[in-house]
Amino acid sequence: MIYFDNAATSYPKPRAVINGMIDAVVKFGGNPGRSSHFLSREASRLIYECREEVASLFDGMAENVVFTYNATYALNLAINALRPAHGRALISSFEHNAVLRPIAAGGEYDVFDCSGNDEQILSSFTERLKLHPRLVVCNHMSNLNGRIMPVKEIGRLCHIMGIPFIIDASQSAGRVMVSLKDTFADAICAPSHKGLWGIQGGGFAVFADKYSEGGALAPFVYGGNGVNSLESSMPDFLPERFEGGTPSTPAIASLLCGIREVKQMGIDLIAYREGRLGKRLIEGLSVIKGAKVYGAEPSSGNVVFNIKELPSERVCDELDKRGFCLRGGYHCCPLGHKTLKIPQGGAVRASFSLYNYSGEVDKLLMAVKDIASVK
Amino acid sequence: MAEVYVKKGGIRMYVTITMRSETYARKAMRILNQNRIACSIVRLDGELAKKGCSYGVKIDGRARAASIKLLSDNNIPYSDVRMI
Repeated sequence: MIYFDNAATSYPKPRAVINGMIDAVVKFGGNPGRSSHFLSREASRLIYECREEVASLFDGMAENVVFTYNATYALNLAINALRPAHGRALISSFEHNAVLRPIAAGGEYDVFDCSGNDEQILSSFTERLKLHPRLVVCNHMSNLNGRIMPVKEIGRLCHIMGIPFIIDASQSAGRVMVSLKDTFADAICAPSHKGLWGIQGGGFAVFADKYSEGGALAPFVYGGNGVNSLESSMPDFLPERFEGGTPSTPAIASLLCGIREVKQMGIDLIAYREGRLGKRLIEGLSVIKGAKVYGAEPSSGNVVFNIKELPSERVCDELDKRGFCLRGGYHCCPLGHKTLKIPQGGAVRASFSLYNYSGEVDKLLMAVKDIASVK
Repeated sequence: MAEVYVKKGGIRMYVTITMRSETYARKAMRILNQNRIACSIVRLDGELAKKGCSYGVKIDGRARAASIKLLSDNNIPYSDVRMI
């Protein structure tokens, strides 16, 4: 089996991540922040250590790291907290449904075009700023072709205009550096189970330093969190303002170990190795008759393509029979599909991790060639 | 701030500093430990837990002044400081 669906969730996980998760269940099985006994204290210690690791990765403060159950939850939480009531929002044309749907549900919105180069993207963004958005949300890395968005420039413009800015780092976390301070972002959201190698069931939003006193931000869920439990309202400070109910300690433990693995390996090395595989696949597909790549990004670990007029899901089925795990369809990203001019029926996506190697890409190219020649 | 360490009948006195949450208590603990001040996280009760579940850090009474200065210097909010 060859796994090329790391943009959906990374697999396999490093041994240290699996051990960390098991330890959380076996050794630290108490409910964090609820009791004074050893098991509860150890779970709390582990969770705080993870807050510190996440904060250092995104240049933030540990107490502003809010744990959630995935990136979608984190994005919903951040959008709910930072979007003024009925305020117009502005999003990129690469946004995943994790952003598009909560934004669309919350009022009017506009989309800036990301089909061109950075200069053209910024031009489209600047043009849309004239519509007076009250919130900007932008993907850092496309889940389709791995396109990196110019978030520093977008964030700088938002900062100048006083518009809250949220970055969706679902694809980039652990693969490309992104900093709250460098981008002037108000919040960065990501899952634990992709580039940070944690297990599914974890995610987080990191809020900028200025939100430590989070009393002005609307809570997203209400419930117990072991703090000020005689009060009927949520605490007016982070992270507890946004955290209600028992957290997923095993997922957070796996995230902690995953981030440490990423740091030990080095994000630049990970990006280089994944990008090299992406480039190899793009070059290989370019000489297969009938194969078409959309929005090829030469240094990206995500590649979307089709074979002739074949439906993407059928191609994935054929690849599955040959032992490959890839994802077809629309990748929960209709805006991105439109931006890349992908036809009806979607596309096949290959997405790499550090654990893939060039020989596997060559095997995929042989399989694609085989499918293209037969069908 | 004057040191308030007291020794009564051979029993060492401790101080609890009330923190706004366990997250902040852990942050305080990290800073204190980095500065070689031993401390532990405690769940508070009675007068110190009027709002319900509350957390603090427990330190040796002799380290009270230094601890409070460190918390202030690092912008870590705290409220009551009590001898126990």
